Amino acid sequence: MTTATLNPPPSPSSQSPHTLTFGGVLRSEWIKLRSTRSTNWSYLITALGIWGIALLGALVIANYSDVANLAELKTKNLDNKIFNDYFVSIITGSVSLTGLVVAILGVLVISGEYSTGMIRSTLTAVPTRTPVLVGKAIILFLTTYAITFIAQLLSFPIVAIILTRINVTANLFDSNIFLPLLGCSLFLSLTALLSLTVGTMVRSSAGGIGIMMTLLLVVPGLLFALLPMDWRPNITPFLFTSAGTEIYTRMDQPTLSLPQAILVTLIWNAVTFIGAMILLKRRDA
Amino acid sequence: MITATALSKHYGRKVAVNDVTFAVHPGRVTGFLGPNGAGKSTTMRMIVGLDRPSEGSVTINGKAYAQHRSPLQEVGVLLDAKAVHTGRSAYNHLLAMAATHGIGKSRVHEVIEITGLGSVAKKRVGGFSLGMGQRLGIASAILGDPATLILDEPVNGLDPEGVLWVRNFVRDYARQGRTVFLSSHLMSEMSQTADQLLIIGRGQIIADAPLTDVIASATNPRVRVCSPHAAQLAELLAAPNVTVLSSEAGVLDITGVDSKTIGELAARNGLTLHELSPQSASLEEAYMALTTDAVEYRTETVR
Ligand SMILES: Nc1ncnc2c1ncn2[C@@H]1O[C@H](COP(=O)(O)OP(=O)(O)OP(=O)(O)O)[C@@H](O)[C@H]1O
Ligand SMILES: [Mg+2]
Repeated sequence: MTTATLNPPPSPSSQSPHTLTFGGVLRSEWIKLRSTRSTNWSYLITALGIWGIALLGALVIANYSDVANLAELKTKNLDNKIFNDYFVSIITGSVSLTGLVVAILGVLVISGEYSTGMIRSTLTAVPTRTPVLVGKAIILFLTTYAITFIAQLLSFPIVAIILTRINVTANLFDSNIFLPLLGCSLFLSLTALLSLTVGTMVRSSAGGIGIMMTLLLVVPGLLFALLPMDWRPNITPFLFTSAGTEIYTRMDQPTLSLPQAILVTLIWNAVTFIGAMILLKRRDA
Repeated sequence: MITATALSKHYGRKVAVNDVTFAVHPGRVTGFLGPNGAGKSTTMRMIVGLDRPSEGSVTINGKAYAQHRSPLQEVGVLLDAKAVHTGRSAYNHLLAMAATHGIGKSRVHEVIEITGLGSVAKKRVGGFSLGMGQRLGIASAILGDPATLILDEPVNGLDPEGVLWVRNFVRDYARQGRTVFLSSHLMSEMSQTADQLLIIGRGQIIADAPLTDVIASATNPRVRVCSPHAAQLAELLAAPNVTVLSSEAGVLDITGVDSKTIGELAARNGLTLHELSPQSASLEEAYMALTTDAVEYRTETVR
């Protein structure tokens, strides 16, 4: 390596009118997101997870389905509903895995700044602070949405080719497929967003990831085990995971309507977002 | 111009900065000096709004830092602690910082050149040496070509060339009429860089004066005399406000009289002098004299 040579300072340029703008903060957050290794890895794993599990799911159904049973199903398959549901459950089969990956990513987007000290640079550039969290939230949400949705779309033809072997077909643009896939990406993006705000409150990777894992994996099972039977219907549907799952799986007897399910996940996000905003504004960096 | 008014910061029961009032003026380099834990970094963090003052306020050109429309053009700051994501390249770090203010790529390349980071700009910051990290910090600080430059121990970890460069850079910066506020532990470095000194100890301002005044007021001017008639001369000089110390035979360190008086006295009495030299106190001595009572973490003398 050549020795680094320091050059004399140039005379000051006449102060050009650069100002801090929200658009600038968005661009900055986008640069940060795409130039971090943990981010790129997380999204790669997410995409591979969606494809891998869709492929696996399709192969299992194609090879082990009872053909006689399928023929019988076909007669009941009004509006292709049963087959559409096959497609949706195969393509969204990876959510429990990809949900964890985007949760970790969401925490790291902010906790990585705290652990490395980057937050001090960020907050000196944007001393009003609020735009930083809003900017991060928008960029994280949109990127997660775009990547998970595109990955799901791309997995559709793979699943379709495999399932034609057992004559199970569906149209991607059927609203019973397209809408659930949109909903699934919404759930994943809102999971990332929730993790971002939780991470902002606790300011530590281990703490944030721990809380999110508990919320996504432990709480549902724990409540199921501990709650008295007659309380369950009043509490369980309002968990982040249960409400989120109802966004992309339409059950025969849903406990929440689609708008209600979306509303519940949004309320979870709103509460943590407000908490994160207050703490970010108040605390010393 | 940085103006602090009755500024205090408590961390729990620990008082890091205690009711300080000072102004840092444009057109000169103001050195911020103080022992470890005196409150220098805390004060600097409060100036740029990273830490909220417990009491009092601090403004930059009349406004709180956060109220400026273009903070990076107003103030460039280098903090003592690392403030860069280790997983990102120097180039992307600067690009992300610049983007917030719509500062273009050309300026990013410019500051990389200015700070000599060209060969490592695309490498991950995690692998940077201390000096390279410091250069990146300086590059971030000057990104917005700011009117005020705040540098917390900027020469920390720099090689001699880097130290010289920082010295010339900040002096040039001040000469252009901008405000420069820098802290350092190297007193000798400060004596070659600063015009004005702000000395802090235990969170309180001990001195705020031009460099030369600080040196003069903190230590009495001393005159060194070498003479074969040292003992005789010492007797002649004896007076209530004069101290004569002799560290070795034939050598006197005299305070309380100037060299002119001593020379004339010797001539009148026919005493030979081999040396007659006024000793200017170093900044180091002045600083030690000022802060002996204000040292937070004193090195215990080994018994
Ligand atoms: N975040 C914090 N929480 C608790 N105490 C703190 C915090 N930051 C600083 N302090 C304390 O406040 C005092 C002043 O610290 P500061 O870092 O400002 O000193 P300094 O003058 O920069 O010292 P140095 O020369 O070692 O860099 C110290 O006693 C330090 O321990
Ligand atoms: Mg310090």
